[in-house]
Amino acid sequence: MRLAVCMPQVPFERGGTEIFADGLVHALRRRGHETELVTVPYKWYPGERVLTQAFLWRMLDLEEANGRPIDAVIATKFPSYAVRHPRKVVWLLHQFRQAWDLDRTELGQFSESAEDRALRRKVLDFDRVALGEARKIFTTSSIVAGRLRDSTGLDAEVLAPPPAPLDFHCTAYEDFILSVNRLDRAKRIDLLIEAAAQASGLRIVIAGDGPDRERLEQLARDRGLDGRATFTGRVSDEELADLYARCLGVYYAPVNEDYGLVPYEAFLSEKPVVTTTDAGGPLDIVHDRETGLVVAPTVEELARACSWLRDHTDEARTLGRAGRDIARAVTWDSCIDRLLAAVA
Amino acid sequence: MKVSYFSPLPPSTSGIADYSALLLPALARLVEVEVVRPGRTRPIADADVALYHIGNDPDAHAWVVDALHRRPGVVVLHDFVIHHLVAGMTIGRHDGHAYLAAMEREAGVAGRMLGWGVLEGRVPPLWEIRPTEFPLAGEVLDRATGVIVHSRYAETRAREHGYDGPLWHIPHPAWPAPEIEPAQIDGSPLFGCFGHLNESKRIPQLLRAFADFRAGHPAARLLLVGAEAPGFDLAGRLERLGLASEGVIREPYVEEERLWALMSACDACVLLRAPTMGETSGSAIRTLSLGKPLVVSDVGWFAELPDDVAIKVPVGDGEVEALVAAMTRLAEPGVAARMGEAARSYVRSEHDLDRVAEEYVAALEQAAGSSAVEAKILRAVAEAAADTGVEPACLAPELTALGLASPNGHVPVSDTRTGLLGIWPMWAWLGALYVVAATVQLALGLRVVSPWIMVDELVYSDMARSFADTGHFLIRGVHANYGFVYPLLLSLAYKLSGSVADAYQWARVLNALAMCSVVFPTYLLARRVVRPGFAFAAAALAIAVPPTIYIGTLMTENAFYPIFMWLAYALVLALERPTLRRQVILLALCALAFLTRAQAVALVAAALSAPLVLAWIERGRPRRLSAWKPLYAIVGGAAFLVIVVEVARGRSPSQILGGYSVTTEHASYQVWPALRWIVYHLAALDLSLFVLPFAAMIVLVANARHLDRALRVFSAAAVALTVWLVLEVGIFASHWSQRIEERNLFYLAPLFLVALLAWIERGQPKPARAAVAAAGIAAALPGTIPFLQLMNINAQSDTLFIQPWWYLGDRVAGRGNVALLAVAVSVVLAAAFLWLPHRYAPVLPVLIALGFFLTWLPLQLWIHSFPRLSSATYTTGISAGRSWIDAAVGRNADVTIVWTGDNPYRGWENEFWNRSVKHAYDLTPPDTLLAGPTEPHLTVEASTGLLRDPAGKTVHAQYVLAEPSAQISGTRIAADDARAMVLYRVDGLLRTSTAITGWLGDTWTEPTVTWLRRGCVRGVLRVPVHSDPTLYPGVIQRIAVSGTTRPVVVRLPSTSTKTIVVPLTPRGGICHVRFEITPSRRPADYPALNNPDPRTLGVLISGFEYVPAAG
Repeated sequence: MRLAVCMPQVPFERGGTEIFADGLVHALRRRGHETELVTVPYKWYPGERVLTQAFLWRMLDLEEANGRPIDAVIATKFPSYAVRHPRKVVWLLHQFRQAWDLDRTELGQFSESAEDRALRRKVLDFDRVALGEARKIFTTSSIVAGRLRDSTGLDAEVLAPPPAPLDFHCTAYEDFILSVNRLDRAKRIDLLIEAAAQASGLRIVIAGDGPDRERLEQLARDRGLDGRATFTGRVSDEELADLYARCLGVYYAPVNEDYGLVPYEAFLSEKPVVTTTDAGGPLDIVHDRETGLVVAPTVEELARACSWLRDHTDEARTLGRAGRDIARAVTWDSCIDRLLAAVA
Repeated sequence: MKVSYFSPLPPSTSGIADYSALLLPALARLVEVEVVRPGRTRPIADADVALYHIGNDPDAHAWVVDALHRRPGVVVLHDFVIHHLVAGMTIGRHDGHAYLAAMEREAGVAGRMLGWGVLEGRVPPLWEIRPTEFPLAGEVLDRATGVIVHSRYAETRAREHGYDGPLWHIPHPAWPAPEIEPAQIDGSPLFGCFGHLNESKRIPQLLRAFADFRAGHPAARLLLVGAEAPGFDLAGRLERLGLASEGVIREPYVEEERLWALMSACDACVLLRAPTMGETSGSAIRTLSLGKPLVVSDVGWFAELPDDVAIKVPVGDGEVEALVAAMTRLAEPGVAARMGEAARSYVRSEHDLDRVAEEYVAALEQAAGSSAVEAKILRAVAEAAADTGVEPACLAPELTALGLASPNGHVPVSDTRTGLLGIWPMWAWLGALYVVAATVQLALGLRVVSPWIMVDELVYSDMARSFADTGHFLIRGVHANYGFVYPLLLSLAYKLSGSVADAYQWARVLNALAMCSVVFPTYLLARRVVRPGFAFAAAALAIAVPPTIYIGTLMTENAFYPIFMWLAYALVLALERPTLRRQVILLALCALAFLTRAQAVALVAAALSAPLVLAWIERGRPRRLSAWKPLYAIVGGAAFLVIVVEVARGRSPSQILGGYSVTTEHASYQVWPALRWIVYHLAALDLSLFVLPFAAMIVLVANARHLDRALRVFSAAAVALTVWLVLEVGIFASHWSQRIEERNLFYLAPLFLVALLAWIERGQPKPARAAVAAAGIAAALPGTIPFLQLMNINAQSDTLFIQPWWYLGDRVAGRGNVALLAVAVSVVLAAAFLWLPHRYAPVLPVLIALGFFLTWLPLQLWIHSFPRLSSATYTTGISAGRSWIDAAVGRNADVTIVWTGDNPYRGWENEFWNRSVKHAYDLTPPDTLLAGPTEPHLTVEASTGLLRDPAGKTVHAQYVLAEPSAQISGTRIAADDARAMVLYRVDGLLRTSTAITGWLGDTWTEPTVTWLRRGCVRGVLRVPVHSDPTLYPGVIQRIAVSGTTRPVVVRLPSTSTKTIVVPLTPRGGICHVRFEITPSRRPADYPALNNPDPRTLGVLISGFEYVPAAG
């Protein structure tokens, strides 16, 4: 088949979404499908630009290219699903959350002005129309599916994608908890630092970079974690695999996250995941005392959980291995089978 | 976002009051709501959107519709048929014309005729017999920026009625079923019927059906709850059907709690309705939420209920049989329970209160902000499309499909404020603009140091001063025949301060406050046709027009400008809806304007003709001219009264124009000059506004017929005001002033600026012919202006727009090229008007602001600037310090000017700056300071030197201000020597001390000169003399001096100057000196001199100085 995978691209930024899209395109090509990644630079501010961007996608003609038909399009996240095609499947990473569940929170975008309120309504209407056209909608997690149902009344199947194919393995359960994340507030790394300050002797390694790094480093210094908290910055694939291989467990607790590949990577390295009850998507596979620890989003609870892991290495191994079995079942092949069945 | 909420509320017994009581708490959790006190129709200023609940009951809803008329908003149409409401608001208010207009809007001329029938009592009230044929929802739908209905039925009817705006179908919210014990009522089954008992509730049919049903179900009972309609005769009906004794249980009006208990006791409720007014039934919702099935008529909203919760019966044929069948079915075991469960579930899913509230919020948010968002998106997309050569119109369907644009393009004037304007409420922005404008303008105004536009400034300041001092508007003690409004304002300054210097500063403060207040009416007027941001821009530009420089002067323009704009606003409002109140306000403003400037007679003409202009623009649409009868009647009556009174007083009716009556009585206007000057004034209006607004106005007016109603109304008002004012000023100028009277015309500027902004906001429509014609006319008109003729002293005060061109002519391009330059600039601006892409449209107002700025520069800084001219005028008039006269005699003294001519600024400036100067007389005709009765001419009585007025009476004076040459008999107590003005104490009859003959005005003498002084004492007379070597080359003249002195002969060579000192010896208190000069010559007799002067001349005497001997 000739397929177009549609994904908006924030110029100069690369993260989980880009890795996901590359993985999907690569896997489709490996299965013999002629596949192209279609991107449009994405800017969601100021004001009405969020909608004029949607219009750009609507203007694209992806029904054929160079005289040959494109058999189907796979749209991913807002606003790429505005694209028109008789066989449009949406594998929804997320909607424009600032208009939905993040509205009227500090992460929201729309003020209380009449114009902003109306603009938000337009985004909601847009989602209903553009997503409603799709032949089928998949979501990367049940939390995304739930949000979609609540917001538009549309049903979706959960289809979790696999992580990037690194050399995940397990060599030891050393005495540190690993965090792998872009460093911004929504990822709640500060919760881990505060917990480390309370759990005496607990080491933490924070991999990744981001706008919040300076604040987090200062916080670690303020809490007297010198030597116990390590900021590695951005690491290579090999270094990342090595950190996963050696850590005791992996901390991953963003707020109401859509999905997140980190738990899969942790599980493939046979490491348990420590997360919180409000983490959203990760809870699809992180089950308390089965594949990791799920605690209330408080410093005390998190400190207690990390300390418990440090004191119970064998249990950590058991939890991690249980997770490995779940993660191994998630493969591109299984995902592609379900995707293509929807457009067949 | 804030919502203002207009609805009847408990304790009103209206069902809509209950509805609001239920909805409001849930709504307030999601959005800020200000519930408007029932009866208040004034809009809530800071609300983003207004929500109006409208039902058919005039008692409960008339005020809501009144409020809707004051500010458009979202209408919840609880009943689609609102004939009863409209009848209550029109006929009920004794406004039959409004009822006829509503009927005509509904059903054309036939509707109007039927309405006549109702008014005359020939046709029974339609709201009782045929309401559904004439719902009369049109007026309400016209004013709605969005409509909320509860049923598809109402939605369909609204669309059929031509409503094409946003519409939301939101279910009626359900009351939470109370935990309440069912009332103990027997009946198996028990059917309930709730509501008024009348024909339209199908009670007769229900009773017949129940009687039939009961034959097979003797245990069945029917519960009838509600008041009985007058004349319904329920008892008789029950008697006839055999239901009088048993079977039917009656309860009249019940309280809420009892209502719920009764409903709970029923097995099912029967709620029939025909005809339907498009309403939803609160009782039906209550019934369903209690889990009880319904039997309903198969009409309107009721027909939309799911079949598993309601059995629907047809109206009319077979109705009774269907009712019996429905009752029978519900009596079957388990049916009522099953349907009841479905009812409960249906209410939970469809009528959930929180969900309804959320849908309300969604609708309100869309109504408040969608048009602004859509405009931006459409603009961005259309620009992109246009830039790439795509026809923007092609994009609309896609935008619509994505929900990005309204399908019908219905974009009413938005209330949404965007960007910075959203930070503060609009009143705060306007207040800030007013304060900043007044401060800046005052700072500029105070650079003017003295009155200089004479005699206007002197007249108004004299009237103000007099009113502050005496309570009468007088000039030098004589009734002033000028508009008193501005002097009344100025009098505050004189009340506030004793010194004229302080009063003059305060006067400019008042000017700034008055003139700058034009921002308010300009904003309000602009808001009728553009959104807040643009209206604010219009207000800002209105106060930046160069003629606001008059703030520095004591001119009526300061009061007239804001009054004119309030009048324009009132005219627009009256054209929108010509109620009696609006017409009266309009006329009151006309009167106020007239009492400010007599030129406002043109505005009365504009007010009279604007309805006709609108009718012409709206030709083909229903006319509303008859609503204007009060205006025409009042004006006609007033005109008649004026004619009668003036004729009875033996005067011409034009005397009502006061000081300006000469413009009608003593002028013969000619057609061609008048036309020429009208064109000049149009051109001046065009160029002074820098072409763009003028072109935009032409395009709007040319296409007014196809514009939205707000712009049609605006166009009608603007055309009427412009035409009449330009005609008046142009014709006046053609005879009287021969100059472009920009200061009589600039009041129109805001109308043109609003036209430009409205044109931009509507996407710069450029219908080919109109746009090209508009640009062509606007570019060419400035070429007609006779710049060379106009660049003179008069332009300095009256034709401000010419100054930058004058400057360019003098300093850059040469005066001869100014017209060419002006046309070139106009062509460039007209090209921008035609071809500037829409995305750059905001540049256009900025260009105008730049033009204003460039006009301001010479007005403030160049040699013809106001500050410089005022300073020069002042120094021409006074050199001794502003209030030197008041300083010498006190401001309460009584000083009389005796004017002998030459450089009138000495008289004007001294009169203005000194409060003690109260009278003036002329001594040497024809020179005057002020023409007219305020300045009588005096003659000298030769024998006594007494000065007598035109009636021959002597004149008494305390102090006199005069030139020394006037030889006023009095004690010199102060003088402005450099300006040759002397202040004398007289304290008695006014007389000259000295009579001189043979001394000519230009200091030449005749062959004989006599000098006579009364009250003379011993001393000397000094007489500086010289001759003219041109007229007397090489001649030595002889001057023989005789009289009450020792005779002597003085020899005067033509090249020398001498002072003749004449010793004086009085006889009988009189000194008399005679000078005989020989030779004397007539210059005309000496052709070589090339001097045609026919007089016989002696010598030149520069003055006669009488010096009494010391002691």
